[in-house]
Amino acid sequence: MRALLQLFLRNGGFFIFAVLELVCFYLIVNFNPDQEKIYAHTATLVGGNMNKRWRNMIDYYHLPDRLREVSAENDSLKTILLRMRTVQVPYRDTFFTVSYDTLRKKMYRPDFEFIAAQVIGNNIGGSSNWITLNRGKSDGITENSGVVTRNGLVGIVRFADNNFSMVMSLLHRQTKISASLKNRGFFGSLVWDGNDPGVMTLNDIPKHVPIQPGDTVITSGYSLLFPRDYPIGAIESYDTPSGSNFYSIRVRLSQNMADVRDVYVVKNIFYTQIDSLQRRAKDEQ
Amino acid sequence: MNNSGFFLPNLWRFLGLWAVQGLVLIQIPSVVGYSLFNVILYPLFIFFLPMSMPRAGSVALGFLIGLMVDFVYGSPGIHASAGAFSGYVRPTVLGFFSPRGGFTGKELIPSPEYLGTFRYMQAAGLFFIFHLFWYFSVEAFTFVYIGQITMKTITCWLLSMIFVFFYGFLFNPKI
Repeated sequence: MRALLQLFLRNGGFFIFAVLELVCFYLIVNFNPDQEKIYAHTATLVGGNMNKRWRNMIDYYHLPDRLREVSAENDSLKTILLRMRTVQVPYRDTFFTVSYDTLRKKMYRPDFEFIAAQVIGNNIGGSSNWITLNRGKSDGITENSGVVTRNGLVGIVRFADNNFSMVMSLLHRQTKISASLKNRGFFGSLVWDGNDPGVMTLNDIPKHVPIQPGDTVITSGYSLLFPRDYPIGAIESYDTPSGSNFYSIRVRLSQNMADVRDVYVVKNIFYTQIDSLQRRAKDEQ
Repeated sequence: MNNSGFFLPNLWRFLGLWAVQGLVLIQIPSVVGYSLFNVILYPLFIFFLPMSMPRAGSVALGFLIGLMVDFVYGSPGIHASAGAFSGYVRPTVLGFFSPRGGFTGKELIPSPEYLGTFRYMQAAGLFFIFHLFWYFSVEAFTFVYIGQITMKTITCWLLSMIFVFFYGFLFNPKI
């Protein structure tokens, strides 16, 4: 104790200097917008690179598992491709090859482009969780794109740097997904209440709709972020709040949010066009 | 001189330099219309602290006046950081300009009265370079702009030293 006291007395100036500089650092990055931006940018770069290296190391040990996953995905894609060939009319090239609209007699193109990425940072502990991806604007990623795995949804890209992106996880209080019940057509809003990281709540489904645990929940296709009919999860339980005409449905997510590694960023090719049309329509009101 | 004798002169110096910095000198860049025309004079308070003041004291008081200046400049933490740094390097800077054999103990504060005008300007000059370089580095918050930081430091130092000279010449503080 005495030695510690002597150390402080001898180097008290330095200790006080160090403590006060830390206080200044806190003040500077929290109350000065310019410095805050520089700090956030640097933290993203440094943190992103460190996460990436750490992730590479971990991934090396998971190679056999991932090989199995990729093979399984390959198989399912091949199956889909074979099935598609029988119903689709080839047009121009593979990417733009697509179905023939028998009602309008018109060719149409897919709305979404998929960009593969890896997760290099993921939180599920807080109430506002974020995921970091190792892909950014230079890889074609744009903000406001959905992020999925082959099992289900993961989140929405909110910030994209040149090399990295920050994804607002499904487990974020502000996340709101337009979801519907498979084969029933009714849709509602899927939100996270901040408790169980495996369960979200689906609201706004009218209580006259017959539902039961185990029913599949999919994307409605009414938002610009995710393609229609993409799997989200299954109904675990539900109740009807007193005085309400709508269910409160607990949905067990099909994607385990604690184990997200390989993802696809779903880029809506027509996002800007549709968004600007919707804005114009809103302005008209 | 006991410690209480230092209190009032330093308090007036603190308030005076803070007021001059916050009311007058802050206006210079906008009046001149050129952002490089910056004059920073308040570090003189830290410089003129008693010679016997321990390093911890000058760091804390440097932080305090910096924080007060930040309050007027609307830049929380930036001047405070530079003030604390200046307080930390002050004893080292004064050590460079001590006479052969060290200070005698009769020098109460590092003013022209005790150091002579030439050594006062040398010591204050080095002290201000440290302060201003730290300040502009923290303000830029990245060394990507090292060229601009250096340019701002030099310009501000040249202008501030004119004021430092006149302050020493006019007031020549003894305590």
